[in-house]
Amino acid sequence: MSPHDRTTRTFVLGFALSPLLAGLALADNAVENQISVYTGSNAVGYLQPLANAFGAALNSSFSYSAYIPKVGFHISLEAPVMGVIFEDADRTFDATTESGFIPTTTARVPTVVGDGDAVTVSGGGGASFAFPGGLDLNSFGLVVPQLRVSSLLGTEALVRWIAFPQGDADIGKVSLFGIGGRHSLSQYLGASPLLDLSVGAMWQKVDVGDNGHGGEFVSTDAFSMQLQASKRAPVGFLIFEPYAGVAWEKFNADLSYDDTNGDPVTVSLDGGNDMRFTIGAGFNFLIGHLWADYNFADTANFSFGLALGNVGRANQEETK
Amino acid sequence: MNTKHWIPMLVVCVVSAVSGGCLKDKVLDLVVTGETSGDFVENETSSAWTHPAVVDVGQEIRDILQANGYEESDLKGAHLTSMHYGVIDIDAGQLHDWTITGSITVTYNGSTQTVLDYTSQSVQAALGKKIPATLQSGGVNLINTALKDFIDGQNPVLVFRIDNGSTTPSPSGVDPMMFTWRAWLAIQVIVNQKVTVPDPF
Repeated sequence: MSPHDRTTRTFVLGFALSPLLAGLALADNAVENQISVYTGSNAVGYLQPLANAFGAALNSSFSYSAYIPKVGFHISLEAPVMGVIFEDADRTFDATTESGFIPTTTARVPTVVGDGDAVTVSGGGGASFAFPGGLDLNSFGLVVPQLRVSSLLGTEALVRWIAFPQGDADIGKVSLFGIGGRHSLSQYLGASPLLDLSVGAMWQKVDVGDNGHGGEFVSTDAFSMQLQASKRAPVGFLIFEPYAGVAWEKFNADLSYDDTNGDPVTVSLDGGNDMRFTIGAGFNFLIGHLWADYNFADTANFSFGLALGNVGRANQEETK
Repeated sequence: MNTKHWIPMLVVCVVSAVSGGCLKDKVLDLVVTGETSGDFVENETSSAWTHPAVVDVGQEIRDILQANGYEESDLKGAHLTSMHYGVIDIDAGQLHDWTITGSITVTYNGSTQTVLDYTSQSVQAALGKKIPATLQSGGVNLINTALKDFIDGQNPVLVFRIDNGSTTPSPSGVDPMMFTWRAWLAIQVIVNQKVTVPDPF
């Protein structure tokens, strides 16, 4: 592959990735409009399914193989696709009337992913309070470019980064940065361990939108620690590699916006996941790796993706 | 096809499918709460008195829509959500408190209805407060009728009036009651909005 071809492929990949993050920004513009009627616990209940999905997705696809070469220069550009399918329980929550509505009334109303129709309740004297509709989402998806580099003493580094600059009126501001590392444990288990084992950790920060006061509309932090095992099995010119893992994770999101009276509101949310168990499988080929996995957690999710580069598993000699 | 060809094609197909193909148009109800108010300046020398305040409801809704970036054509519905009242200023020369009882009425299209009652309300206790009011159906219905008329293309103007029934102690020429109070109306407007959001799976 010529340098020109490599450059072209990188641009194609980056260009193809752009619309989903642009979509994320578009969604957040809509969310910012919808959430402005809510403060406090209503805002938390309204946004919680999206926070859960965002956290679950971000903490996915950290790795698809526990094998890490002990030495040598290995690099891959990767496009993990991380998805969450929303459940019925995610679509509604119990909200309480605001704005001095009398009597205070609690109603089952749409969350941010719920039905698009507003729900209106009646109060004293025939006054009404309307709860906004949701965005009527079936799923949440995230595609993030990541670069994996190894190996120094069986250790690899992973970087996720993408940013749309401030000032693009249609897209708004989106920035994502993540950095992580993994270390091979199986290198200490002899020349031919039964399984490949690794441990790793990753931290990510995502900022979306503008709160109109110089800050972000949404600012998130995600952190994950993971233990993973995998087994490489040659199949023709490919290497089939099932894997499993357990991870502890954390996700926080801070939202800052103005309510409909123009008063600033700050809301903090935690992602719903603490632990996750992952099973998946991948195929390694000459210049890359395809993988897919499912993550069992409070907010279950799946991921799949493609890595292009010399990820270091195609050489059968190297796998021994 | 060798790997030099199908791998880039696979990249483009998979990633484009989950990115470009995932944006979907949705129509949803956005709710915006706006607040408007009318001030009543009191300088009374008798126990019972009346003062009007005019609220251009049409202009208020236009302001709410404009402040949130919506057009009148987006409007789907509007209704009264709540009312508050409170005292925003007491004349510095006032030597004692006043207790007042009465109602606030609303007039629209020749009809007048009571929208709230206040009973034994201390003027000093209401200073700087937004006291939520228990609303009366006649007044609420009249206000909602005006809001509906706006959606139907009219430009309704409401006249709110304080009808104070009694004041304790009774004001007089040598002991006038001087304060300014305010009635707030919270109005919610529901707008239909088409948004494009990612919904990939």
